[in-house]
Amino acid sequence: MALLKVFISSLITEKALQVFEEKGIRTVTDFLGRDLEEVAQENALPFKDLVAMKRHILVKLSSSIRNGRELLQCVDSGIVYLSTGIKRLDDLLNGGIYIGEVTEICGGIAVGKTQICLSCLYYTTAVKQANVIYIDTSCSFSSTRVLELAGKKNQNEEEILSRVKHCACSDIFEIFQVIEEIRSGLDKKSDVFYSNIKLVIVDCIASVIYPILGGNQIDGHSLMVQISQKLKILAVDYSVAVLVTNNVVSSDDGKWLPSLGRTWSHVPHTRIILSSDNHQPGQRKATLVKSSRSSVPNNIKFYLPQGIT
Amino acid sequence: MSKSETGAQLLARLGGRPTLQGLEENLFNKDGPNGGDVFEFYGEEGVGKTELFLHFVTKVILPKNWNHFEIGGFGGKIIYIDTDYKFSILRLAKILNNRIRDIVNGVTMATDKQQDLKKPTEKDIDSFVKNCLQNVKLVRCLSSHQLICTLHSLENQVCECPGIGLILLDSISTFYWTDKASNMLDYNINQIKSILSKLVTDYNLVLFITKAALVKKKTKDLSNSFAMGDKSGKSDEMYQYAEFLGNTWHSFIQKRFIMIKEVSQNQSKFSLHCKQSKLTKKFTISDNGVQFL
Repeated sequence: MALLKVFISSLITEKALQVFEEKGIRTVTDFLGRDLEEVAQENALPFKDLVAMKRHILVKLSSSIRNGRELLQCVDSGIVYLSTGIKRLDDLLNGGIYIGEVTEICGGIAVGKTQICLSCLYYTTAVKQANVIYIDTSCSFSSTRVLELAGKKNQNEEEILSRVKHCACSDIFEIFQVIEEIRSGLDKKSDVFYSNIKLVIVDCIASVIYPILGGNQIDGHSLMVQISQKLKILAVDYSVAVLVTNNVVSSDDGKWLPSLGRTWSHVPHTRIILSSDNHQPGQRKATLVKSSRSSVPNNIKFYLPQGIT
Repeated sequence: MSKSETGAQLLARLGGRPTLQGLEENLFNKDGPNGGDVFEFYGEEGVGKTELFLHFVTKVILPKNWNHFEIGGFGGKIIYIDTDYKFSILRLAKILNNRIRDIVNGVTMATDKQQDLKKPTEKDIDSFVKNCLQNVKLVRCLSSHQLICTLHSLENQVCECPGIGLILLDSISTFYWTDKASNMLDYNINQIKSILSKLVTDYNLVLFITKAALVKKKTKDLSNSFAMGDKSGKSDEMYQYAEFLGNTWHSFIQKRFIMIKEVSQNQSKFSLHCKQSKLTKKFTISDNGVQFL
């Protein structure tokens, strides 16, 4: 909600603003919502000036219109998805974690959410030579595990880890801060690290959202919506892949559902639910429950990647 | 004071807009939708709201004919307002590609005699799809405030471009919680509604809107269950609807389509229900987009 005052210029003068104020027109939306002919007659302001003011404000505030052809050209150049490092999971996801999307991995305790994140991180840094931001809310990042995945393939360990920026965040506001840093880094284009970012991981989003959801429903949900918007902007406008992990809750009929409720359920572009089988240690089941590329639900069984032991 | 305009202005405003009658006979009969129609598509997560919108987009932007193939589109332009950041240009391009390929392959098989009609190459199809995509105008908005400003600025765009016949807004519920937190929900919805209805009536456009089911219907509403009675049957229970954007918005919508998904044996079954026109339709989603059964 912008005040008209912000736009003071040779076009929108202090004097005009005073006249508006008397009529209760303070914000931009107040102004835009009025019929300009009426405003001109009531206040004896030139209609032409009002139209010019409106145009000036609209140019500054409205988002730009892009046509489909340009959009496709922007996407066509460059990589489309990042491998998770697990062949069967990649097949399920139609190639891997897509750039320009928010992908969510849901699962209970110790089903391998973080393992998939780390595996994806390893493949992005070592194979695609791209940089990764790891937003860690529950102290689950392990650099030794990343190196374990690298194994003895003669890769430069230093190089792999130098491509990762680890950000420990204990509440939602710290995540906002990190996202702002990433955005300004990407906007400036001078920082080599930021301009080569292809993957942002948030592990796990639920642990920072749970604390704000209690009490006042409205404020908590509002913050949750804001973080989801920031993540989506990062994915869509800056062409990175965003991978978040989430917990599960059991529904009335015993099925696993992603936690965080109805509003969050609309957020990710793609969602998989992981589960383990007590009789088959090490084996995991991944179910694709949301996707715009393949039919859902669809599931596969796989084993988590083994490192060197 | 009533406004006056010249005949030339009137023609620019109303003439030349593509008719969208027969856009989807499964949903709107043969003689709909008409200019000025405002329809809402409501549903939970993953019921195919955005997919259905892409289906409408493909139908509108494809031309009626291409070379000697009958495509059956409308050759119009659309404005797609994406507040949910869910619109995927890759997905749209893929649906267009698949549909055209199906048509091309189908026709050449049927008319074997006419060998002289040359089959378009992959390259031809590719550049044709790219040309069609030029008819999509995409706007993304980050807040209600930006949405309001953008809607005001769209008037110019619509005025300049007579090909625009359809505006899609996906979705109106995105800013619900943030607006509610800042106590601006009613004000913003009123503003959005008034500018949208001005656009739609002044320029004879069709408007489709999605709304996510963010709020659960209160199940312990006794009066409601009494009113429904026993005979309401299964369909009313399945197609539940809860209005959370207020009465202004409720009355703005002329028809509301409620979408649901049922999962059984690893198969998703999509369906759509409209109380106003007493219609229930099933559809599938594949690589070719939405297909009605």
